Amino acid sequence: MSAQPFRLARGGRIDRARPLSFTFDGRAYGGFAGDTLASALLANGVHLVGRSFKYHRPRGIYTAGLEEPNALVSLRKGDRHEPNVTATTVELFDGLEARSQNRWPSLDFDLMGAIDRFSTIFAAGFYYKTFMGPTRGAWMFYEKFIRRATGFGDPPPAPDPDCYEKGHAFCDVLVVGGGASGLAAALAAGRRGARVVLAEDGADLGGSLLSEPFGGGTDTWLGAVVGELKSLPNVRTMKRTTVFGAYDNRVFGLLERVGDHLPVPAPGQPRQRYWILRARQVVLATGMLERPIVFGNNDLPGVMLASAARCYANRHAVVPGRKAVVFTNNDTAYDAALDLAAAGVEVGVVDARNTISADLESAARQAGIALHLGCAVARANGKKRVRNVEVCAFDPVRVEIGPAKPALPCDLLLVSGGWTPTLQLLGQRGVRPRYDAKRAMLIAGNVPQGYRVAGSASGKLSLRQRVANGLREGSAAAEACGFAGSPQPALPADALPAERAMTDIAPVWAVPDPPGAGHRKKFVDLQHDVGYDDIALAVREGYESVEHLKHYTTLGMAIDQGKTSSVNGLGILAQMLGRPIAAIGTTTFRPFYRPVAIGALAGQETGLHFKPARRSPMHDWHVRHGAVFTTTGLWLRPWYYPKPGETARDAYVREAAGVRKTVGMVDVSSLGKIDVQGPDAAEFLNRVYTNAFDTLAVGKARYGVMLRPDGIVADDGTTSRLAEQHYFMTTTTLGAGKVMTFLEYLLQTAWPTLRVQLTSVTSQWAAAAVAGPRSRDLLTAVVHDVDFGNDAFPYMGVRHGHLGTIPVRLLRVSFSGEMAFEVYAPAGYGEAMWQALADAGSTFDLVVYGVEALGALRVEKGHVAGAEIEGRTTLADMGLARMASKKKPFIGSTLMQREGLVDGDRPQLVGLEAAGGDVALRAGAILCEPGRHQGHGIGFVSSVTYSSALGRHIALGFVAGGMAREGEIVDAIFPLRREVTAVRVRSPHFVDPEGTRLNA
Amino acid sequence: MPEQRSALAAVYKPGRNGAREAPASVAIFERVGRTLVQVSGWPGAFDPVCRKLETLLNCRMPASGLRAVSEGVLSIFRVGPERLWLAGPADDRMLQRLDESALGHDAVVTAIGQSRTVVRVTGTGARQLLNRGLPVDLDAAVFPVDAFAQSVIHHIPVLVHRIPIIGDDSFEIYITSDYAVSFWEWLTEAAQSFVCEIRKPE
Repeated sequence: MSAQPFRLARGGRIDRARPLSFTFDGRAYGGFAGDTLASALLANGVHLVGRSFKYHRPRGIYTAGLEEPNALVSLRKGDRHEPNVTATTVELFDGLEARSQNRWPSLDFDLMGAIDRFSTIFAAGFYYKTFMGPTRGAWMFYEKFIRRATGFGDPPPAPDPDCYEKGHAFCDVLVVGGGASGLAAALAAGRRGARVVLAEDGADLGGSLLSEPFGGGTDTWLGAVVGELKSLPNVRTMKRTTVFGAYDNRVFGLLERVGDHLPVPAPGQPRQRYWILRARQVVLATGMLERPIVFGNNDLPGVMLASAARCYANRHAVVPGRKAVVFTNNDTAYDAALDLAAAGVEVGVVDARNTISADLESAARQAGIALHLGCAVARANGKKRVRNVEVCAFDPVRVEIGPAKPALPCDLLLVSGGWTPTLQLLGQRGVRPRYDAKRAMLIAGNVPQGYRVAGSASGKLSLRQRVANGLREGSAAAEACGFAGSPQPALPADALPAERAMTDIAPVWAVPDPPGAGHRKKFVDLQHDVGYDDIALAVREGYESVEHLKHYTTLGMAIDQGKTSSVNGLGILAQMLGRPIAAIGTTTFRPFYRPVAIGALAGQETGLHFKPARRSPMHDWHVRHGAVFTTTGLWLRPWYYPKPGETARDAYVREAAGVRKTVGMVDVSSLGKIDVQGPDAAEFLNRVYTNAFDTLAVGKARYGVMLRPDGIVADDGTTSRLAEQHYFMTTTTLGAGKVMTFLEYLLQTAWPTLRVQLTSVTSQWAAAAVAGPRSRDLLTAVVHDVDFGNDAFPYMGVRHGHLGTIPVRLLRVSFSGEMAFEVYAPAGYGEAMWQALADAGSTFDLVVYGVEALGALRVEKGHVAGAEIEGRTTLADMGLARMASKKKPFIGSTLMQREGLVDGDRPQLVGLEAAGGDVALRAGAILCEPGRHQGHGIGFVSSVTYSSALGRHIALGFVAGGMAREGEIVDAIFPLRREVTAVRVRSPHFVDPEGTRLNA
Repeated sequence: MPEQRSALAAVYKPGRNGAREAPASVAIFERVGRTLVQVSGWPGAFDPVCRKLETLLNCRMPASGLRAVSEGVLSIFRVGPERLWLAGPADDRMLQRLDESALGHDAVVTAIGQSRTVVRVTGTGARQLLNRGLPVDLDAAVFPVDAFAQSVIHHIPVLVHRIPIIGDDSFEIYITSDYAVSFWEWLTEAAQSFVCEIRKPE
C-alpha cells in the first residue's frame, strides 16, 4: 500500500483516525474516512483513471462532484458489480474494489487507444453515415463490434442481491441542496414552523462551504446553522439524497443512497430508496457548476476544474499536483490558487482578463503566485499527465490569440471558465433559462408557481448574498404555505466572513489554435468525446438548431446531461453562427438529473411483489391439495389438480370426465359479483342487459348479456332476483372491474335519477360450482333446509339455505351443460363450506376440478367465454341474437344494427373438429377456404380442448356463414408452426344439445 | 357456525420482523371479530336515513368524506355522497339488525364485513411504514385522528383510518380480503427496514 504522497500533513475534513484500504485495478491503496474514491486516488498520486468513450484517450479526475465526466469506474465485484460510477461521488469504505473501464488489456496500455490516431474519420455522424448499409439489417451486425470498441462499463453478471425500497414523502417546503443558501432557506422555513425537507446530494451538509479552509469563519456559521436545523423537529434532513426529477404539481423523484457508502447494506436496510415527494413549495438551492474552457488537449489527466482542486485541498487534504497553472477568466479561481499556494503548491495564474482588482492582485503576489494577465492557455502538453502548458496573449472579446510563449511546466492545470447555475430541475418543468451576458451564465427564466430559486443557482456568487437570498426565499416559501408572522432571529448571513469585491468575468468558450502551431483536439463534452471540430462539422452540415446539434453530435446527452459541456457548446455554436447566445436557445433537460438504478425505481415490486395476487377464500385448501395455479387477471385460480404421475392433460381430462360421470366441484369465487339494489333496479338492469329483467320472478336467475354502446358484446353472466328491489349480478372474472366501472358510470352520468345502488360483493362471497349428474345428491346430503327436487328447485332457480350451520345462497345454473348448482357462502366460511362439500363428496365420487377442465366442459357444451367475447363479436356472431329484446332499448341496441354488424357474412360461432382423424387444433388458427390461404381468411379458431366425452379434440371458432356451412371442410392455418389442418364445421353444442342433462 | 377463517391464516406468523435488535418502532396485527355494514341511500333522502342511524346507534353520522366518526367500538365512514360504512364488532346486535325494516325503504343495507381484512399498524414508525406504499400524507397536522382515505398500497385498494388511540400513530387498514395475503406479504417485507413486531390478532 502506498504512503499517500499527495496527502497534506494537516487540515481537511477527513478522519485521520480511521484509515481505510481500497484497490484500484487490483492495486492496493490507502485513504481515510471522509475521502471519496477520487480524493483517495489523488492522495496516492493516481491521475489516470479511465479511457475516453470513443477515442480511448487517457483521462483523469476532472471535478470533485457528480458532474464528473471522466472518472467513471466500476465498483465492487460479483453480483454487486456496478458500472459507470463517478469516482468523485463514491464515499471510500474499507475494502472498496474499483476498476477502470473501456480499456484493453490495461488502463496504462490500452490497445484501443489506436482509434485516437484515426479520429479524423470518427467524427460526429460517423456511425450514421458509415454503418447504415448495405442492407437494412446491417446495423445489427456492426453494433456488437462497435459496442466492444467503445462505451462504458459492463452490466453486472447476475441479479442484484440487494433490496431497494420506495416511499412517499410530503412536506410544506422542499429545499433542494444543502449548501449555504439551501441551509439558510431550510432554516428560515423551519423557524416559521413549516414542514421542511432538506435534500442534500452529498454525505455532509455545507455544499461549497466544505471546500473552504477547515476551521475558518464559514465553519462557525455552518456549525451553528446545522445545529439549529437539527433542533427543529419540523425539519427533515435527507443526506445522500438526490432530487433527480421534477414532475407535475410539485411531485419530485428523490434517490436516497442508504447503503452505497457501505460494503453491503446494513441488515434489513435497502441499498437505495426511491422517494416520491409531494411539496407545496420548493426552493431550488441547487448551486452552480464550474465551467471548463475549451483548448487544445484539454482532456489530459492533470487538467481539472479549479473548484475541484480547492475541494481536494481543503476538504480532503490532498494536493493534486506540486506545480499548478490556473487558467481562468474570473475571480473565483483565485481562491483555489491562493489555497493551493498556502498548501505549498507552486502556482501560476493565466487570466484572460487584462486587469483584476488591486486587492486580488496584491493577495496573489503576496502568496508568490505568478500572474499572466491577458493570456490564455492555448494547449496542454503531455501523454498520460499534463507536463506543461502553452500560454499565449489572448483577446477574449475578439477571440484572437497571439503567438505561443515559452511553455510553463506544470503537473496540474486548473481551469475555470465561469459558472453555470444548476437549473436542470426547472428545465424539466419546461422552463427555458435565459442568458445573462454580464455574468456569462444561464439563469432561471420564468419560474413556475410554487418554485423559488435561491443562492448560487440564481446566479449569485457572493456567499453573503447567497445566504441572504436563501433566507428570503425560505421565508417566502413558508409564508406561501401559511406559516407567516413568526419573529425572525437575526440573519446569520451577518456572521459570515467579509468578501472581496469582484471583477467581471470575460467570457471565453474556446481558445483558438496559436498561429502556426498546428491543431490539437479540444473537447467540449469530455464524457462523449465531442470536440470543437465536431460542432464545426455539424454546423457545416447545417445542424444549426441547438437540439439538432445535440442529437447529431451527442453533446450533453445521456448520463452526463451536459453538466460541464452544454453552455460551452452554446457559446461555441453562437460564435460559429455569428449570433448572440440568447438567440441560440437551449436544449431540453429531462429526468434524470443523475443516473438512477432501475432497481431503485422498481423498489419492492420485483419477484413475489411484482404485482399483487388475488386469492379465493379456498386458496389454501387448493394449495394443500396440490393444485397447480394459473392466473386470470390478478386472480390465482386452480388450473388442475394432478395426481401422482399425471400430466396437465391427464389431469384435466380426468377431471372433466369425472364431472360428466358423477359430480365435480370447481372454485368460482373469482366471478365478479355485484349487489344491485333499489326501487329502479329492474329498470336499470333492463337498460344494461339485452334481455328483460323486470319480468324475472323473485327466486329466479337469468342469463344476461351486456353490450358496449357500439353494439359489441361486453360481458355476460347470470343475475338473480333475491327480492323485489334486490338483484345479485355475476360477471366474468376478467370483466368484473370494467362492468362495475361502466355501470357506475352510467348511473352517475346517463341516468342519475335512477335510484339504484351498486356494490361490488366479489370479495364478500366464496363460491363453488357443483356440477354433474350426482350434484343434486351431494347437495341434498349437506344442505338440509332446501328441497332440491326439479319442481321445487328448477333450472335457473335461486334458494337460500344452510350448509351445516353456514348460510348459503344457491343458484341452479350451469356452465358445463350438466345439472349444476352454484353455492355461495360468506367468504370467511368459504373454506369450511368447501371442505364440507369435499367431505360429503367422497360418497358420490366427487372430483375437484380446475379451470382447464371447466374450459373443456364449456367448449363441449358450446358456451361462449372470454375467448369468444373478445371485443369484436356481436350477439348474432355468437348465435345469441334471440337475446336482443325488441320490446325495450338497451345499451348498444342502436349501434348493434349497424350495417357492418348485421352483415350475414360476418364470422359466426361454430363447432370445429379435425376432418382427417383426431388432431389437436390450435386456438388462434385462421380459417380459410380449402387451398385459398390468403388474407384474413374466413374466420378463426377461438377455443380448443380435448373432449373426454367425445374422445377427440374439438374447438369453437367463428366462420363466415356460420352454421350455414355445417358439414363443410375448411382449412385451419397456423402460420407460426406452418400447420394446415382440414376441419369440419359443425354445431358448437358437442354434448347434450337438447339440454337433457341440464334439466335432469 | 364454524369460526370464520382469516384470509391471512396461512401467512400470519406473530413475532419480530426485521434484523435489528432494538425496541420495536412499529407493531402490526390483524383485527378480528369486526364487521362492516354499508348503508346507502339517494340524493335528497339520505339525511333522514342518517338521523335514524344516529338514533339507533346512539352515534352521530359523519358529514364529510374525509373524517370518520368513532364512538366507542364503532367507526363510521362516509365513503360516498350517500354511502356510509359502519365498522364495529361482529357481534354488535344493532349492526346485525340493521336492515330496511329498521331504516326504511330509502336505505339500502349491504353486508360487506366478509369482504375486508383489517390490519392495524401502530407505533412511531407506523406512518413511515405505510408511506412506503401509500401516497397519502399521514402527518397528524393534515391527517388527524379519524381522518381516513381511500387509496391504494402496492396496487391494492385500501381504506386507511387514523384511529383515536392516544400516543403513537395508529392506523387501521381495510383491505379487500382476496388481496389480503399480497398486502400482508408486502407489508411485512416493507417492515424489514424497521424494527417491527407482528402481534397476535386482536
